[in-house]
Amino acid sequence: MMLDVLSSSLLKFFNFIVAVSSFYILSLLASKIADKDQQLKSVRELINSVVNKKPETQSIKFKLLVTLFNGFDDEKEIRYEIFYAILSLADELNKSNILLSHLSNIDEYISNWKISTDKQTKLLKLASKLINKCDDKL
Amino acid sequence: MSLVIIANKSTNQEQFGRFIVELKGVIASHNANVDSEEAAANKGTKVDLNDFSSKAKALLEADNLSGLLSHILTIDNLIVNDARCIIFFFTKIF
Repeated sequence: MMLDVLSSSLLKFFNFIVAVSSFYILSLLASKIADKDQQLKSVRELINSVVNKKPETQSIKFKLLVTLFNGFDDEKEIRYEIFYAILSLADELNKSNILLSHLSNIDEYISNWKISTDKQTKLLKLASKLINKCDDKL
Repeated sequence: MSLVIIANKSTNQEQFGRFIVELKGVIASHNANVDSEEAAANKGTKVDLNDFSSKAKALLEADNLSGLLSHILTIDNLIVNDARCIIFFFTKIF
């Protein structure tokens, strides 16, 4: 019984490490794509591959999206796309509280990324929704 | 660790060629698992290893990285959800 529990925990740990390692390489692959439009399409493909995974992998989804986010320091449009996906996931899973520190810096992010007004509005609406969810939990 | 080696190599061919080789090992393990009775009960699907490998190499040689990424993602769900492949992949990487 004890061995079964240990084996199951180890398997989950392996699962986590492997998924993050593999995804790191896939993020690296996406970061090397020279054509910027194509790169954005590929990043969207990667985001979809994460968010569409089985529900039991929810805990790892944030880690994978953050890995992807950190792989694109200088690509503002792409950072916006990934950040929006992270917020959407937090909304879907009701995990808004873990993003609270980022939500308080959202005006700084918007200023740095220089995104269109439409995208700013979209992002702020979602951020506002998440902040309200945080308030409900407090 | 392989990941460090991959990150430090200079060309795309060097960086991602090694990853394709690792993935081939994972797919081979996955295919072997599908042959087992347990996997058959879970309706696992075999991946054509030669087809995967030749397409991946051709895309990499053409420096078509977006195509390569899409190609890898087509098998992503199959191999990542196979528990024994996960362990195999872990031991291969570290």
